[in-house]
Amino acid sequence: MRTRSRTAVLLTALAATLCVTAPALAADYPAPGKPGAIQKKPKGPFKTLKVCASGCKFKTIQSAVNKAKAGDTVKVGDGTYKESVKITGPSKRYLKLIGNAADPSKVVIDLSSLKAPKNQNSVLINAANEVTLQGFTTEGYRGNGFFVTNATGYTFANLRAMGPTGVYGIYAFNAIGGSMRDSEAHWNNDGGFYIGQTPPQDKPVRTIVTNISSSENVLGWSGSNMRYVTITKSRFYNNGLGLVPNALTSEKYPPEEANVISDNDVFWNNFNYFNGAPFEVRPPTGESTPYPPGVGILLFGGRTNVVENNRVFGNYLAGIGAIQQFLLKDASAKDLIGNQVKNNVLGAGGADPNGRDLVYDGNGSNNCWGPNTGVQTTTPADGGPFVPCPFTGANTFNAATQSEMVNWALDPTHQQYWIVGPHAPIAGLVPLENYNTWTGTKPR
Amino acid sequence: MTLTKHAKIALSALAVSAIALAPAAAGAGAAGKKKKAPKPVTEKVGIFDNYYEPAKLTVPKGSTIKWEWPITTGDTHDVTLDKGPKGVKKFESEIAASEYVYTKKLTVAGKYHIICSLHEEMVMDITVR
Repeated sequence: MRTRSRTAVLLTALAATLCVTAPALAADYPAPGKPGAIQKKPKGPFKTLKVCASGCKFKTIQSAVNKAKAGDTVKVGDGTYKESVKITGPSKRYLKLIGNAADPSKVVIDLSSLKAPKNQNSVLINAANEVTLQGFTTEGYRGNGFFVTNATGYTFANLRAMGPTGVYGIYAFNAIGGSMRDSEAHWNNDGGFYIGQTPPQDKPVRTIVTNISSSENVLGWSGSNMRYVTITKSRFYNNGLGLVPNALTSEKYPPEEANVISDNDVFWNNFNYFNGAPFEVRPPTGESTPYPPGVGILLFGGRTNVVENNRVFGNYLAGIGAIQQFLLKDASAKDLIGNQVKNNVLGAGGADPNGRDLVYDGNGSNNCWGPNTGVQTTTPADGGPFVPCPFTGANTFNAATQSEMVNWALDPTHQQYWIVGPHAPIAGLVPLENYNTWTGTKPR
Repeated sequence: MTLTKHAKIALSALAVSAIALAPAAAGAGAAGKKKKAPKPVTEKVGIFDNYYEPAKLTVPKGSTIKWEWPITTGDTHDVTLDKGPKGVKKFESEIAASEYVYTKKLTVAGKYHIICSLHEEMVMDITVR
């Protein structure tokens, strides 16, 4: 979800003056993906194809997938598989690719020893509807771990995307409906989880995300132009930022909207990966703006999102923030409209405070805040923009707050504006701020 | 408005293309002489977040384009033919973040509009003469 701006006006003008000619005839190709296209549910009979190192008909996952017909099951035995897998097209619709749901650590797709392009995406599902992927661990991917695109319906369950060389761990792009559950993602240099570019729908099909755990990523959850997604009963901690639903020019259909983030634990998102990380960190340039580490939940633009009943604590910049997407090219989609932030519990009863509990630049209209409990500090401090829910009307813009939030992003230390407080211990977890001195479990 | 690094490089590429085309244009005007087709070339295109560099190319028929992903991991991108001359089959690269090279020989004259299927703003145009 990185952004860059380019100066191309002059170039375009020069290209036009060259006035190159070409044959008039041209072919238009189908768009890269049209999720929503009907793919009939297969009638069967269905087969189960077994994969394992010895004693099975198939020794590689891909060979079994190639043989499988729509609706079949590919059952993968415990072991390590050094291959990337593609599930492509309607002929693979309703396929079930099943590893070890009870213990996904026993079925590993390891791309670390492979060369490009085999080392890019561990499992890529493209234009095949209603595929189920369950019970796998992956590591060593350079691109994405488990990735579905251009599909209507998918089930991702019991998956582990462990990085530490990839971009997104568990990822759905240009897809309608689906579910992600009982899964985890770590050490990805963008989003541990990511749902992006959801097509707008007249009759929205919701995507349900439940019981996931995302930690040690740049972003626990990235949601560029994400729609109709409910994220619940999940944990986001030790990331640079916890969850960032956002509007982005580089992908279709901005802004993000109609998402629900409810009943999650969002804490300790203070991983300053700029000071060291097992993954490659792209240095900020004059053309890109990094997200500032230290934020629990950030709405960067967006409409009709609901953030409620979450427990948000120990994030050094802000617990929950919202800011206009002032960089968006589409001016009609920049503003925050109709978002609700309510019934959240901030600061763990004072035992694990956020640097600032709530931050809002007051942009947009119909946005409301509260009631929320445990709120000790807000930016702006006078609480002006934080009108309680429900609310209809223009919100009160606060330019100083927007400027302050921009400064967070521009801070070369990435932690100058942190307000560091104590953490209440959580069994089995070590707060991650500086990777080099961190005593938690590092990736292989 | 100042030129960005990318605009300058692309501008240079356009200038080279224009120079390359000049002899052919001159030759066309020479009475009785058979027009000599320019030799195919190999052009490299960089893949970045979120742009191709250069974003415009003009090459002789039969030229080869090599799209090169960076060594260090960027965002994931691909190369997909969105519109092309009649008769050209659609082509698309793998979706990749780094260390990958996708090569395509363009044998049919015309305009090729290339997109990244993951990033709407990421486009390039190739003219094959």
